[in-house]
Amino acid sequence: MRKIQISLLAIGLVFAGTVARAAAQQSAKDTTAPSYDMKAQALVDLDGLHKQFVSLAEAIPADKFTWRPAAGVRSIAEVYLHVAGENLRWASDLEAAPAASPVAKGYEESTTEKAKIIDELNKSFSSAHAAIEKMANADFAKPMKKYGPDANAGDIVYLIVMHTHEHLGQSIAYARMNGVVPPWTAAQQAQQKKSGN
Amino acid sequence: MTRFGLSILVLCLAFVGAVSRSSGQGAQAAGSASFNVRQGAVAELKEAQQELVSLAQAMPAEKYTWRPAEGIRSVAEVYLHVCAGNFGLTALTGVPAKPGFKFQGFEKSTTDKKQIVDLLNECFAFAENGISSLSDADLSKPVKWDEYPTVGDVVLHIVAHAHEHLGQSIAYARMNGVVPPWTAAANQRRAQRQQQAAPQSQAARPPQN
Repeated sequence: MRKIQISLLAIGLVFAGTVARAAAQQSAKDTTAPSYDMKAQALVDLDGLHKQFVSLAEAIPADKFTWRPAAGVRSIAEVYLHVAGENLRWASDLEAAPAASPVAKGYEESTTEKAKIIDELNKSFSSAHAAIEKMANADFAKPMKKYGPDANAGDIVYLIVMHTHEHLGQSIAYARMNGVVPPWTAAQQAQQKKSGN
Repeated sequence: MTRFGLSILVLCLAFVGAVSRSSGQGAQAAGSASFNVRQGAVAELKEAQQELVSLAQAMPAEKYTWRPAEGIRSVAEVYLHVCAGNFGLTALTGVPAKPGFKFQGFEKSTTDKKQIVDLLNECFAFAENGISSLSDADLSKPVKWDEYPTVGDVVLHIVAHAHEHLGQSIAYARMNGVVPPWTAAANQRRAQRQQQAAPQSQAARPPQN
């Protein structure tokens, strides 16, 4: 009788353990089919923006980094650092990182040095990419009350992508005003010239 | 079987049931609608519409033909380019196209301020209504466009496209001495607060777009 009890107990525990492990694995993999996988396209978009921002920053002469269209409006360097700062801040919020902001006060005006700014852009886009990549489908619904009573993590992903697009448009206009053709447009034009179009 | 044995078995089964239920709930939450992409898109489009229309209204009519350099879109052409995106790209998602709309020549079709402001309102409403009318299942449908292979991807691009050219338009406005109306309003509020709090101190204003 005693043996039967022990066997039952062992079987029960093994079964419970197996179910718990399977549930944990399922949750970690998050293999459920989302209605639309926004994460994939958000990452593709963000990677494209990363390339465009860095190549544009590389094409702008170092002495133009302090150019601004009017007094009181962000300079070229300040726009780049604004984008980098928000990427770092929002990535940190998505990862529920420590309460302290990853961006120090005055970050946007902290440097006008071209190489340093390009490093910051690279670092910030990598952080945003990593934070979004780690998200499971269910994480997109996670409330982010800091951003509003109904805000969730999906809204922050939207915000990162749209905010970056907006400042890319601004940065392209800044480049044009300084006689700089965006490198991807220059490449396209060169290709067209080569093929005789 | 003794009471002890039965209790253990019941406890194990209860544990298994609880784990299964909690796992099932997670799967349901993740699978049904983890994030409402359409709702997010419409909210972002409404924001872009409000800003772009107010910016277009603030731009003097004679500046609509201004461009930063030869061969680059003018103020009017950028606004109409956004409209072309909203009309044309939204139709790609499967909603009925705007009757008579053609991409070709649309950007250069007018430089009239009032017409352009009306078109901006119309094209944003078209995109917002079109996206709102899509179902969850529509978002996963394929689209014949390599860069944006599904309807959901096109929806994201419509919003991104509008925001990118909003940023460009803000820079154009600044180059022409026009402060974006929402920034002007924020500056006014800040000045009033400063005046009320400490009339003698003049805190530095942070730079803006």
